[in-house]
Amino acid sequence: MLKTLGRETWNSVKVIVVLLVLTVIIYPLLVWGIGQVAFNKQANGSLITNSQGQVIGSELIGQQFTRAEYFHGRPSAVGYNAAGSGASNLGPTNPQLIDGNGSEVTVTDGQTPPPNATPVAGKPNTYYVPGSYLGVKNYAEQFRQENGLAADAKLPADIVTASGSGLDPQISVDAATLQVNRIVQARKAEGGKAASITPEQVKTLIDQNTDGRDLGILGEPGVNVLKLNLALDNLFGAPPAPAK
Amino acid sequence: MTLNGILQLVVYFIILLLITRPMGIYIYQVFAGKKTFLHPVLRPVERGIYKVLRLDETKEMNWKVYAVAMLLFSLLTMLLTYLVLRLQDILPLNQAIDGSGTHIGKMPEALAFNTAASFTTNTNWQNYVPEAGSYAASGAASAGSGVTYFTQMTQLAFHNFVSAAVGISLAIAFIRALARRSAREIGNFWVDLVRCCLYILLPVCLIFAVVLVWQGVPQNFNDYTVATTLEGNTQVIAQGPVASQEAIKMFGTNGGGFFNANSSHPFENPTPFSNFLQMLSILAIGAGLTYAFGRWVGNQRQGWVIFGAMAVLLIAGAFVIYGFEAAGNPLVTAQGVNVATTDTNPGGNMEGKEVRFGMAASSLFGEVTTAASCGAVNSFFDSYTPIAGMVPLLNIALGEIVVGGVGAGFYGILVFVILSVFIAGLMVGRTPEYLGKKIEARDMKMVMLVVLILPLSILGFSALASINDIAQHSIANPGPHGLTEMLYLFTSSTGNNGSAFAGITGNTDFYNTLGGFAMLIGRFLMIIPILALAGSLVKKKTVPASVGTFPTTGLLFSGLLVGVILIVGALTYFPAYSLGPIVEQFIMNAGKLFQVG
Repeated sequence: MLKTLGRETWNSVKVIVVLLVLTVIIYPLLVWGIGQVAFNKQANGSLITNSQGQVIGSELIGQQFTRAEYFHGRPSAVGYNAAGSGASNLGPTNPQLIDGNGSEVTVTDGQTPPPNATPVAGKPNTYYVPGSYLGVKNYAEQFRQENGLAADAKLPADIVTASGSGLDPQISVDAATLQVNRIVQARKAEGGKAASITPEQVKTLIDQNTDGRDLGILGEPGVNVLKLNLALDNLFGAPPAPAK
Repeated sequence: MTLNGILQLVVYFIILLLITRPMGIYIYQVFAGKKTFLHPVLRPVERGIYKVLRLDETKEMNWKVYAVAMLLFSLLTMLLTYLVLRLQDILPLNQAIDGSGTHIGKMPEALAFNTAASFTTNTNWQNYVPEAGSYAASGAASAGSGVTYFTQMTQLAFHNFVSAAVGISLAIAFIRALARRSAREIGNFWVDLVRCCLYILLPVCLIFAVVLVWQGVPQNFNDYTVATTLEGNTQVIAQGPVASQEAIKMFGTNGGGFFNANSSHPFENPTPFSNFLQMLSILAIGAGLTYAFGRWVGNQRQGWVIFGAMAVLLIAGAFVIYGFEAAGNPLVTAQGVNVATTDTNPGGNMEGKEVRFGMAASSLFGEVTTAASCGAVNSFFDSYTPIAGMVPLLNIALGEIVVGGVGAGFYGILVFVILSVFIAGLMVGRTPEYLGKKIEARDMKMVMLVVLILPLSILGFSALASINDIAQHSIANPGPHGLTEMLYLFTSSTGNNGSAFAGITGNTDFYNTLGGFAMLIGRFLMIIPILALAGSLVKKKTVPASVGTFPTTGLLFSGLLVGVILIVGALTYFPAYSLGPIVEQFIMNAGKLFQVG
């Protein structure tokens, strides 16, 4: 038995070395070589650069948009941190899923409440501090408000829920279409190249940046938000930097 | 559910059926030492390897030596990984994870133990955050929560290859034991291992990985990219040699994501097409093994019967998840959300899901990844509606035999086959036999060990966790959902799946240690009785079939097999599930949130 143990231990060591060479040196380097040569852009993260050569993001990775002139993406449980992806992981009957993961804080008399806090009705000196996830109810309210929609307007499922990766680059066509009027108004107000912007032009851009189902049936259609916003800037100019 | 959604599922099942035969023939050829179409290229390499190693490829092992070799190999690779995780901060290829040159630190002991156990056992449970940037951003960088490119490539991807190869080798050894008569040897572990990597895993992964790069999966060694977004903010984009790891992660049913968000991350799974290939690759080997088995024992119907039973459970599971997820969460619908799926709205329960996949492709992925022991996810189970979330849980608890993980799923279902034969034998009062081999008391003891270890570890550890304060504090969701999170953690660990109800904070000493042991128990305490069973079966003579033999090639047997699997599963887990997902479904249907206090 001892002899078997010794022999097979030595065999283990030898096989580990050989398999390491095959699977962790030759194989990934081969993929790297082929990838860098044949699909250079994808192999390096499908990065987008601006005219000055600065990287402004990746086609595949969603980013945070808050300005009225841009299409907004889906809620993200990680604030579009592309070096810390993740979902909300809130269960279907968890109150935080609907109301958000904020918390109530009580301050002593005269103390200033924390930033972003709102007073809680019926509880003096108590404030609600929103968390990293605002909840379906608040995301829906916010989206309706921003886009001037009726309080009972039906919203598509994606725009009020956090994605799995927290980096979803896409929104649904409905979610994009509902934002068109807001964008037209905001851009028009800035004048210049954007003075003549029409909803139809923006809708055409949505069409152009919609990825259909692969092979006609796989997955669901979606609009790439970053590419759509870049297309907007291309046609109508980048919005002026916000006042500090 | 939409017509197009149902079509996606149907197309998947048809293509899986179509690849089963060619895959099976190829697997059989490789392990039976027959000539394959890759022999002209790879056979000289294989010979060279044996020459360098001074291995005699014709010398086979009995079950004990096979087990010893497998255990030693696993132990040594686990130790190596533990060491690398503890030293990764000073090893090469430690990428900068922000603009200011922060690198990944060493991993703490308990987490390193959990991670090493996790990848050695083909589980790929991840209590660390691979890309680690969230820790860097909060200033607590180099807390050792992340992993370096070196660790990913040389350890985690390495285990993805070899733990899969170990599983397949064991399944093949078991098949040999059934096919041979009055013999002692069940194969040479080293030869099986090398052949599996060389002929099956490496060639397929090479092509698959290149296709993934084409679809948008990165393959580089760059530091994380610092981008300035359109609105002028800084976004750090994690990179890495993703594609090479992604391919084997799926094909070897490992499931450990290169990134925290796993296959929902656009860099791991950029398109619905890459998603489809990933789902197919999860079940390709498992399905092929059923055909290889039929060929090996000289009766193709023996293989198809098993495939049929698996297919019934697989299709049923996929449609249950899809149905419940497409119907959405009434609590979300009440906020004025449109859950009807159309071309312009993915509809359904979109929390934790990606737009490009939508309901059908997410639900199917959830089913496939837990039917196998893969555990990769493209949508997050913790946010599934309760019954839809219970299906993955049950898939794993049944032993991942619905096609199953590479190898492990197949020897798992053979155990259930023998159990079914035994029950059928009891019903008619004859000594049960399978493939002409009499199933005797010692064999049934091994079968029962395998069947019982799983629930013992799952329910035992969950019971421990549910009375432990620290364990309870790790729960992210209140009420029955919290219990489901704990159950899922130990089910996934013991079942060597690796998917999670990811809200739970697994990175505590409690879960790192107990979860690590659950994974080792679920892998090795399962394998040893299986090999002992193989050792016993290989010795037996075969007796010719008589009128009293219960035929194991018909629909009746397929039905019995499905029945036995479901009854064993239901009896074992129903009480626990009724306190978790089942009661939560009622709460949700009543339109109520679970309010604490």
